Amino acid sequence: VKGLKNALRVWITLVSIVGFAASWMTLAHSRKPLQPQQTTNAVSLEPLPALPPIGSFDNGNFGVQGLGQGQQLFSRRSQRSNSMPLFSTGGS
Amino acid sequence: MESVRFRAMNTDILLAAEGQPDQLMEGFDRARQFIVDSEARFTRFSEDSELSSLNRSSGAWFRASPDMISVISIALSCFKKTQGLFDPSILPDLQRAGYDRSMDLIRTEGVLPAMKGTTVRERVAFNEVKVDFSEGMIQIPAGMMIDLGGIAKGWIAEGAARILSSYSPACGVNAGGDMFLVGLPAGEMSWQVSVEDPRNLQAPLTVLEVGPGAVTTSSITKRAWKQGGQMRHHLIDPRSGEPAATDWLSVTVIAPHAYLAEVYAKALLIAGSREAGQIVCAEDHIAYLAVDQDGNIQEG
Repeated sequence: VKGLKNALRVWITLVSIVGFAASWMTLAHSRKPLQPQQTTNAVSLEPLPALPPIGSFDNGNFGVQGLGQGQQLFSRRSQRSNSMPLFSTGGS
Repeated sequence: MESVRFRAMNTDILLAAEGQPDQLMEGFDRARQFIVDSEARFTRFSEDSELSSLNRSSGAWFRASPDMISVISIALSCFKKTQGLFDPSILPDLQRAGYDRSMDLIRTEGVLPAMKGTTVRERVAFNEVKVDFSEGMIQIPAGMMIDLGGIAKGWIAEGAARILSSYSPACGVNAGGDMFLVGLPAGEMSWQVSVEDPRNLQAPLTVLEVGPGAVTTSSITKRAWKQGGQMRHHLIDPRSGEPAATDWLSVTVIAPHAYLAEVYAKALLIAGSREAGQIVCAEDHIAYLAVDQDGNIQEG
């Protein structure tokens, strides 16, 4: 049994070494990747467009960007008050 | 709180801000000038506006201002977000329904009879509009005409509030119900915004307590007129090319940006109660309050 184990170890070691060497040789003889100056077959990509100035409003004092999902964005005033708010909305 | 009122974009404008009156005057002047200049750029009712020039150049590349590039690119994004319910290319349908002049003129002179026009099914989709950010150019497809009335007012209100905020920590701009609020009034935990009853424009329906951000209402009872004995309004359903047949009278939207609130208020009003959930399901930071024909309020 001991002899069989040793033979198995040798066999696994040999197969690993031979497999590694074969892979090394295959890669060494394969085609090299395209270099930057070899542009004839490369896909030409258009430059990415500049972002629109939509984010110019996105700083601290504006909007409610800090709110998490499901957080209440408004509540309706419950108590009756005689004072009318300065701001009113109803369409134009 | 100091305030200034004036009329622009065929609606009432309110600028309000906390601070020293002498310092705020410059802020009010600059915000007002921004609104006047932006109206001149985005109106479809002037042949000299940049929007009219863009519409005349349909089919060809048009060199546009940075502001026009910004609004068109936002409009393209909102077209996708609302699954096409917000569609600036419905202008021919809007004109066919009678909204071919400013609302101030329609209210005094009335509307022309219905005209035959290009129906929605024959038109090119709005997302065929191309924007070249690096060159500052826009190309709208041949024959397309666009109206930015559904987005520009919110964009302008937010821009004006941004200018005003350089002079005040707590300020707001209300452009005919499209408002943007910055900061909070001293000693307050929220802004209070009155919502009009679409069935009785003189009476408030409720009062909202909101944080900084945008509040906008879209209604089918204000910009409405009779054409050939038939009631018409300005909210065109892009799917039919006709004024939307909706079960809601008004929708108020609370959102991080005024243009977003304006777009979603219109899209939700067109969608009505049955489809509203599908329109806002992907948006975390949008809340709405809709009013139906009986005055019932639905929140979402």
